[in-house]
This record gives sequence, C-alpha cells and structure tokens, in this order.
Amino acid sequence: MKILTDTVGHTADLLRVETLKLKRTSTLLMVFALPLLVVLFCMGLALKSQDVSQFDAEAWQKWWMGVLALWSYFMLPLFIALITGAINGNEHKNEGWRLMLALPVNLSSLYFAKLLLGALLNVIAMGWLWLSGVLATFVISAFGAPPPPDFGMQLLEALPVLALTCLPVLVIQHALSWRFGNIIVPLSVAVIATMGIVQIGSSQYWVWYPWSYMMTSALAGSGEIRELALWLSLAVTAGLFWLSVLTAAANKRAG
Amino acid sequence: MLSQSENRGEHALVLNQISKAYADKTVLNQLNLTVPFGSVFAFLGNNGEGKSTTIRVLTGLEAPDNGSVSICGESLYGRRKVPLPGTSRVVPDYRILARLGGLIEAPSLYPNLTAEEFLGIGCRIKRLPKTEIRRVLSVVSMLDAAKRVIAQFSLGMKQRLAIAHTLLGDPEVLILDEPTNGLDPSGIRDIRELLKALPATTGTTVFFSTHNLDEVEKMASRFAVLKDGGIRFESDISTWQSAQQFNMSLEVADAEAAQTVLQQHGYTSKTINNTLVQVEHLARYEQPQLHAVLVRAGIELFQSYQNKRSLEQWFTNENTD
Repeated sequence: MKILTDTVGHTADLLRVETLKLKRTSTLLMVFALPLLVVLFCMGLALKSQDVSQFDAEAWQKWWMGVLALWSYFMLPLFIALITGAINGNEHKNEGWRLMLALPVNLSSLYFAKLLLGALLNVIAMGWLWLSGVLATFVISAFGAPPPPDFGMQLLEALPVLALTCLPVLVIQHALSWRFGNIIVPLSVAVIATMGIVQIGSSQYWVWYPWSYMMTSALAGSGEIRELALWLSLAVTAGLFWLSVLTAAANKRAG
Repeated sequence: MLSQSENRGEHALVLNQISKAYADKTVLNQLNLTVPFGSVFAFLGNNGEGKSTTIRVLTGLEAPDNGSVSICGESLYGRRKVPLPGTSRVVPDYRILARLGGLIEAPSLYPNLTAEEFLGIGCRIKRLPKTEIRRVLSVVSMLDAAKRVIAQFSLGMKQRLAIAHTLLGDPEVLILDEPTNGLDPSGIRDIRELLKALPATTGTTVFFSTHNLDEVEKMASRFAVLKDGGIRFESDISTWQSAQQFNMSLEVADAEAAQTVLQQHGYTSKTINNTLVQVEHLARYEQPQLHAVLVRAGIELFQSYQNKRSLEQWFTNENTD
C-alpha cells in the first residue's frame, strides 16, 4: 500500500513539475488557439456560405457536427502531436533530461506524468472547443440566425468519448516525442497519419488504424461501431502504453 | 532500516572494476576509484579518456558493462528482470540519487522559468521545504536574481544557478562535470571558494572533473588522473606537492662562493651570473636546510624563489610519455 501511495505521490509531484515547465511558453496558447481556429473556421463558413436567418434546429445540429468533425479528424491528431512535442521538446531543447535524471526521479513515473499532462491539456482544449462553439453561436445569432435549440449538447456528449478514443494516438505521439529530439519526426508521423484518417477510417480496415478511432467514435452512424471504437482504443492504449514504458528507458537513463 | 547518516559506508564513492565499452571502443577498463568522505576530489584526464562516461556511470545515466558502484555505502546498480524470458538488465536504483547532487556537462536549465521556479523543480522532487530555495540562492549569492527569468542570465549566473540546484537538500556527495567551465575569473574564484568550503560547512563530499589544472591545485584535497580507461595516478594534493622536485633560484652577493658551498654539500647547482645561482632537483623539505647551509657558510643571501613545476606541467609531461 505504501509503495502505491509513494508512486502516486511521486507522479503527482512530477505532474506539477511538468506543468510548471510550461510556464511562459506558447503551449498554453496552442491549447486555446487551435480549438478556437476550428470554431472560427466553421463560423466563417456558416456566415459566408449559408443564409443564417434560415438556421433551423437541423442546421444548428449540422453546424455543431461540422465543428466536431473538423476537430476529430483534422485538428485533434495535429494538436496531440504539437502538445506532446512541446512537453518533451522542453527536455530535448534545454538538456532537461540530464537534470531530471540526475534527480531521484522514477523514469516510468516521469514518462507517465508527461503523458498525463498531455491528456489533461487535451481535455482543457476540448472544453474550450465547446465553450468557444457556444460563444460562436451568439455571434452567428447576432448575424440574424434564430437562437440555437441547445448549446451543442451533441458535441458536449461526444467529447468525453473523444478524449478516450484519442488516447492511442496520444501514447504513440508521446513515445515518439520522448524518443526523438527533433520535433519533425513526430510531426511528420502526425501529418501523414492524419491524411489517411478519412480514407482508412471509412474502410473496413479502420480497426487497424488508431488515428481513425477518434473520427469513428464521434461520427459513425451506428452506436455499435462507436462503442467498438471506444473499447478498441482503450485496449490499444493499454498495449501501447505497456510497450512504450518498457522502451522509455532507452537512450535516457541506464538500463 | 538504517537512517542515512548511519548507513554511510566507509567512502563517499567507490567504483569497483568498472568497465564500459561503446561498439568496439573500450572507454573504461576495470576502473577502481575510491573517494573519501569530506574530500574535494578532482578527476583529471584528457578528452576522450572517459571522464564524462565515469560521471554518467556515477549518476545512473550509463550502466557499466561490468563492476559495481557504491554511493555512501549503497549499491547504485542492481539487476532487474525484464518481461522477456531469461533476460535481465542492469538498472540504477533512482532513490539513491537523493544522496547526490549532480551537474552533468553543461547546465540544464529551463530559460522560461525564474531562478526561484527552477529551483522549485528540485525542491518538489526531493520534497524539501520552499525555504531551501532561498538558502541555496544565498549560498551562490543569487538572492537578488530569484525572480528573474533564466533567459536573461549570463553564463556565469547560469552555472551558479545549476550548482545551487545540486545543493538542494544538502546532498552527501556532489558530482560536477567541469563546474568552472565558461566562467570568468571572478566566477571561477567564487565557485572555487564555494566548493572548497562545502566539506567543512555541510559535510558534503565534492567530486569534480576538470581541465583547469590550476584550479585543481587551488581547490582539491585529492586528485586522480584517468588514462587508458583506468586510474594512472592518484594522490592527495599536499602529498603530491611535497614530493614534487623543483628548481630554486638564489640571489646572493657572490655566486661563485655560493656555488662552491652548495657543491660541497652535494647540491646540483649552476651559476647563472655573478649574483644568481640555480639549485636543481630540490625537494620541498630540503628548502630550509639549503638556506641554513648558505647562512652558516657566511654567504649573503638576499632572495630565494622556487621555479615550481605546476600540476599542469606535470600533467602535460605525464601525458606525453
């Protein structure tokens, strides 16, 4: 029991340390700017190409779906790559590995704390996506659209599932950013993988492609498929996490 | 369970039969080294001799291929099974690193943080009170810079801050890789005085690698020279200094008369001019006797000075054999 509480306490300390390291960096700006970009794009599209005075409940639902789609199969994978790159890049850039590993730090806990921070920033970004979406509905209404029937409850309900189904990608990107000092490597993987989401995600092979789980869980028509995407992503996350922790020590601390 | 002070072992650091090779190059070859508690221990060697590798082994960053490392009586490396049948790997016990303060190669700092925030990292991981931050900042004379962002610091300030970080929690052993690298003369003097005083003020043992041999003579109580992956020479600085032979120049009224007296007493000497004699291969303990011989013989001695061979000259000669 003491080992467990010590490990949890140690990881919590490392999480605070990792959060502190982001102070005065552009990482937090990214957390707020990228979801806002998605919402602004969808808002601009609605204002430019549609007659918003005709916005009925279905049109509002489509608008929210557009926000969710753009976030889940385009921006989210890139956002994850940038966030994990920033969290680990801090160490690569400033030789922070030497500092951290000369301290009494459990390498697995450090690896997990960084991953956890990535997941938390992801949740904050998703919360902000919804909030900025709500703010955008007021702007669209100000341009003559009837008030929306709800405040994007469909998006709000999809986000917790999305936060879980993006975990395999988060683990992959974190492992790559942890391993490679040059952010080009994880970023290239993210860009190339994102390009395949729509095609592979809409084929029968989506189960083999972790990048497609996000889109499937958010947008698939069948509830069964969405549920499968969720469970599959949890299982793949567990496997990938176990593998990546095993190899986390390579090129870092001895062993 | 022994407390830290009870469980100190006999030596601060013990490297026993350490070997380390990269690809086909052997860097450390059955290296044995013992660092006594309370010493300021200098670790010398040319580039590529394995100083940094030794420091990486000592701080848990590189596992040795063979041999053992003990820090304050505790073994740093153990074997852990990995989930592949019949396999295991050598891993450091990270908890032992709490007894160390390590500065490896260049200072690793986060330029976006203030000095205070940066030291907060070590404080939180070592679970120390926040008062410790101001204490170590005061030790390195940086209290004024506590709230300044590191990006604005000079190289010397960065080095001092990195050393302050290693001092958090008064570790039993400090391991520093070239701690005065890149510092200006006053910065070097400050760090020298700080490290030299640590064994007396906090009981900390200091182990450092350096290229600055002048610093070793001024700062260290003991030193070792690494060559071909092993310790080629090891000594207390005071013992080494007293064993060193040097030449002595004597300014006298009559150089010829002084030369005659010196030769009668078995000294190797030569006259440089009418008033200057040089005595060669003199040991430190022979110096008072030399003066007495000349005075007893009625030679007027105005001045004498040592043409001492520095550690740098000695090291250069030793390494060009």
